[in-house]
Amino acid sequence: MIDHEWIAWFSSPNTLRALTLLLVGWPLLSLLARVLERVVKRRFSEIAARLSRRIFFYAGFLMMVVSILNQLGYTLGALLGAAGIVGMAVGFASQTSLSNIISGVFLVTEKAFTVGHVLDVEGTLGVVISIDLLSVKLRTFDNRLVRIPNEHMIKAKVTNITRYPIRRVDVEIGAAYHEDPRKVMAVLEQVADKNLLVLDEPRPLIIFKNFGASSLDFLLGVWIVSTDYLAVKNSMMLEVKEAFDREGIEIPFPHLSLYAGSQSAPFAVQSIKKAKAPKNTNEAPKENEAHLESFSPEIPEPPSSLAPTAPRVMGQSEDS
Amino acid sequence: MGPLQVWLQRLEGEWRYATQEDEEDDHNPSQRKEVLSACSQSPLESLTVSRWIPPDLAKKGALAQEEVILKPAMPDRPIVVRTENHIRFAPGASGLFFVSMPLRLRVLLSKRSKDDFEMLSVSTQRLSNTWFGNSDEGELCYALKSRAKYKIDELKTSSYRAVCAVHIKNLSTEKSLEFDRICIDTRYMGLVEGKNKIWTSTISYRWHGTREPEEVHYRMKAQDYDEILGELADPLESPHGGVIKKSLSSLRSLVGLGR
Repeated sequence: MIDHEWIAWFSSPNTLRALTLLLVGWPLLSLLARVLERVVKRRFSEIAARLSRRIFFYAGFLMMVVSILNQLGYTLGALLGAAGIVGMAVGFASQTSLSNIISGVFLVTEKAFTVGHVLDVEGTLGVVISIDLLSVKLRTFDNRLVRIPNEHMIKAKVTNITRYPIRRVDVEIGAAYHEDPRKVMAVLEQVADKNLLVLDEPRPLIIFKNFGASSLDFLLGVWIVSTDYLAVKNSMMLEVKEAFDREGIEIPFPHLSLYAGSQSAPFAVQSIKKAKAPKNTNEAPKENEAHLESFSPEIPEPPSSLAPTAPRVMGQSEDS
Repeated sequence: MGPLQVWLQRLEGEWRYATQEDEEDDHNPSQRKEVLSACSQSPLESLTVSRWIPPDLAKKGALAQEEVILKPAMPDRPIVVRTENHIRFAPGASGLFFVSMPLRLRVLLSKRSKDDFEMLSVSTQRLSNTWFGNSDEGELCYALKSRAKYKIDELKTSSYRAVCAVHIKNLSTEKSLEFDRICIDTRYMGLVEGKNKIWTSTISYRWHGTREPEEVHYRMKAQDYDEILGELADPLESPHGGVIKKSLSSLRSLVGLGR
């Protein structure tokens, strides 16, 4: 037997309105969400589009459920009150997650980087493989996955290495002080011109940077397509070394000369090894003396003006 | 051909090829052009030998139907060439330049009454990369070491290079047109064989001033300069009316000084 109460309930205006809301509202919501996704994708990016669609759909779905319950006669006051309290508790507990979500929205709309770009995030270098609701994921060049929360990305200094199609590769080179700087710069220019991966325009940058502690310092900056970075970095270093060797240009290593004032010659440096205790205490340590002599270069006499305060070289006895 | 050497070897079930490019002086281009049908000189061990499997290999008599065809083609990227000096066209002025550019060599396998299959496409001369535009956006191009010339006789040409005539006109009534580089978009250019040289489509640049974009037209007008014997290659794309593109630049605008 059919329950007339159920029939009456189903055919009541409120129930019909609720059913209409459900049957029309849900597909309409899906359609509007997809339209919004397409519009946002055209103006911003795919990530922003997906995010917008989800937020729109879930917010709309929640409103639809509340309306349906309202139509069915359920009082939502208590429910909303409880939801408010729960919301506050959840809010406190998930403030980091919320911060990450909001930061993610800002990251996407800012368009500082996108999937496929190479980023340097405070020393972590990798390719962006996804920009998600809570985090950005990088794949490092040694194939590790790094997950960086969006909140951190917003606050951190992020360098987008592949944002622009071309970039400059800088090579710092030192040449010995006795070399002709103009010749060095001419050789560097030839090296840059010969490398086919180096762009002719913009022209390579060659700067005589500094009179360094041990060398004349130069900067060679060549422009390349961003994807050729590794190939050019390696080849430029090799080609500069080969060109310098060919032209007889010395690349010095760091060295120091010690002087006791401007009137003296530089001190020679003596290498000392700890002498072994001789077996017979009356015997002089012949072996060690020979060792010192072989290492000890001739030490020049200090100028007479400095003689009273001439420093002692290690290994010299008081009598010598 | 020129600085390029190509080895081709037919083996059972496959073709093998290797290429080598010698260094080339743009001011004295190589005149070498020869095909040795039975070459005793093997590719150097340092070269990379590639293998290519053509279609219909298993069919009986496939080998007898094969024919290797060598065809020239335009470079696969735009070409940037510098003028001899920084140029300044007064309003209404125009000029004609000639550019010599190395071609690509296409090696095709032709089967009688069937389509050709491309085995290999390689540049006869390795060209340096360059960027046409600014650091934010632009186009990756090839750079020619040789310069655009005013007279055709000043060009050093050879069997593996084609000549492109570029006509530039300043249609502005107030502004002068300054430039020192020309970017040639090779997509819209065909090739014809002349009596003395290989020619590309003629390019016509029309500059209307800074407020309007330039017009670029590509037409085959090599018959104005040489006796044409036949077509060698069609353009990859057909230009629609006049292609509007920024094709002239000066160093000043590249580094932002002119802004």
